[in-house]
Amino acid sequence: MKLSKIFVALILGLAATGCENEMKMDMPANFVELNTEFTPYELRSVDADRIVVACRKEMNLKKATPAFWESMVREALEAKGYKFEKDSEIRNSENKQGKLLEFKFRTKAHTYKYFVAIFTTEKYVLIGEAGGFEMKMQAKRDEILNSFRSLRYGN
Amino acid sequence: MKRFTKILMLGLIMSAVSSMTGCVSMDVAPKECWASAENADRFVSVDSDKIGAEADKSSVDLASVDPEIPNDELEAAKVKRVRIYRGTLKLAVQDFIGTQSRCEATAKQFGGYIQKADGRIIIVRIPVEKFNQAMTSFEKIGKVVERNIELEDVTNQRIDITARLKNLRAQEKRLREMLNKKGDIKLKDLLAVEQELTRVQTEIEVLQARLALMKNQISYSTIIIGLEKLIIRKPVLREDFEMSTPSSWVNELGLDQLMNY
Repeated sequence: MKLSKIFVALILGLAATGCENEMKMDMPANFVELNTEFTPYELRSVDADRIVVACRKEMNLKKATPAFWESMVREALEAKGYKFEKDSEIRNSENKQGKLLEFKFRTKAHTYKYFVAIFTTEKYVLIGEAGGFEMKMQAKRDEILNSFRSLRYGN
Repeated sequence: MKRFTKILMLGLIMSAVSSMTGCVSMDVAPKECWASAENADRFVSVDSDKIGAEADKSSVDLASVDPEIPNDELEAAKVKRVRIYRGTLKLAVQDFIGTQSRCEATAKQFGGYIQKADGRIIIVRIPVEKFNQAMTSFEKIGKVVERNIELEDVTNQRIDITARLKNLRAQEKRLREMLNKKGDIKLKDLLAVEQELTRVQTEIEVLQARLALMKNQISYSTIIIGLEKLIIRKPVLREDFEMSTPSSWVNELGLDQLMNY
């Protein structure tokens, strides 16, 4: 009897874990997971070309839309020296509309590309990020965007 | 008793007369006060609206001003009251050199000239009848920090100098006449006369110079313009100022964090 109780509790616990909402993003092929401990990221992975793709969630502000966060993010990155290249609409697998921002960043040695995808729920801002050398990022742009499109929050 | 009554009556009458005299003197007193106040007003009047015009119109019987002036002076002294006009302006401006040029142009516009322009101080001379207009124009050149108008009544001074000059010239004439009578005069006295003549001539020159200066100051008012830098206060942000964002994560975005693994 005692054993059966423990078993039921275990089943319920597992079920509860399975029901828990979490952030999800399908990483592109050939990306390996990086440790996210002590980082703001929920998921982060890297490929052999040292392109990093990551996602995170932050608390949303009341009525703040992807367009609102787009302008905030753009201003903040431009202030850091990132060159804004373009923005576009992006839809995730749940058909939620988001914003995709593309930036370029030059150092003395290299030119980098940095993408930011933004989706919002009532409670959270879901942010997808990808960065790496310009040429490599260009080559894997579609894969990265597909990964962003898989960004969602739920069970 | 009758005698006592008479004495009492007499005393009362005397007392009444005495108090009447007192009344008369009291009547006079305010008149004197009024007269002196009027004189005081003549010396310090600063009614900027009447400046220039008033100088031409006002005249005074100097007998009421100075009873010591001789009669022949009095005839000549039925003259216009004369005043020296001085204006002081402190202007805050952005450009000193540009302001100097504008002051020069304004001075010319009113028939005046720049007497001195030394960095932050510009001294302008303007015909007295244009003083008021010129002050208004100069005020428009910058932001007025201070403004002051000063009038000095120099009627008496001018009369005094003129009278002294007249006396000295008469003295000079007499001394020259004495010198011309050389035969009748001792050498010692001759030297004394010559010495006196030199002194008188020097004094005449000094007074003539003072009179010329006074005439110039009367006909041309002086406006002293002091310049100071106009400080335009703009809200200044510190170099390290950063406007806050509604969520700090926005500022954390970037390759440095993303690619730091």
